[in-house]
Amino acid sequence: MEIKGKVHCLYEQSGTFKNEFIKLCIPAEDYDIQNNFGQTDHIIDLFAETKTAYMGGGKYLGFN
Amino acid sequence: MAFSWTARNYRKKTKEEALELIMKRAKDRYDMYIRLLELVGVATKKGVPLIIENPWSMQHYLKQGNFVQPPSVVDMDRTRRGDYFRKPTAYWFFNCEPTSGFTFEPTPKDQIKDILHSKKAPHAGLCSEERSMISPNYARNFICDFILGKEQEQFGKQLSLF
Repeated sequence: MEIKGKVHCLYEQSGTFKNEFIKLCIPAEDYDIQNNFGQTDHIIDLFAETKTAYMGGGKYLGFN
Repeated sequence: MAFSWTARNYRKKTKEEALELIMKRAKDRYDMYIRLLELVGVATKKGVPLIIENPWSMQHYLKQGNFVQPPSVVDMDRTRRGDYFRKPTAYWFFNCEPTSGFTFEPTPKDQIKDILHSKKAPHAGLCSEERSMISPNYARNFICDFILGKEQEQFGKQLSLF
């Protein structure tokens, strides 16, 4: 699979996958409501963001 | 089991108290299920590749045919790719297809963890952080095997077992 652009990792353990993508030279960011390890790029309510994105809005999951 | 009066979580509750908790559990499950479908909906509308992961060991809602498609990949033993737990795990690929590869990087036996003996969650109904951990080795191997189709030179050529 060819990855164009950035990988967005969501929810628990998203940081682990983000870090491995970056080590493989693929840009990546992670999103979670928690920031237990102080490395989460975007601390957001993913449930609310998903609901909003499905309705046509959303700042992060709108993929605009 | 979690929806039964005989579930361990309710052993100290009256039937009425347990029923209230069961109804809350049913509502929470419904809410999260809708969020999951909405996430799939967003990816479908936009044509964005999406990969969803969920445990596949014990019986649960998604395993009972309650999802839009069956899993694309099921890894029955994550320790073969360097994870801490065996923990069968399913992956659903949307708007993309998994590549096939098998990086054999077995976790040393003394480092394999057991879900039943992992640290408990702070309260019932929540999965403990330790049980949810994925090792960086597993994440890397999963990405190379199923997303990039990338052979990792340090592990040599491997036969695909899927």
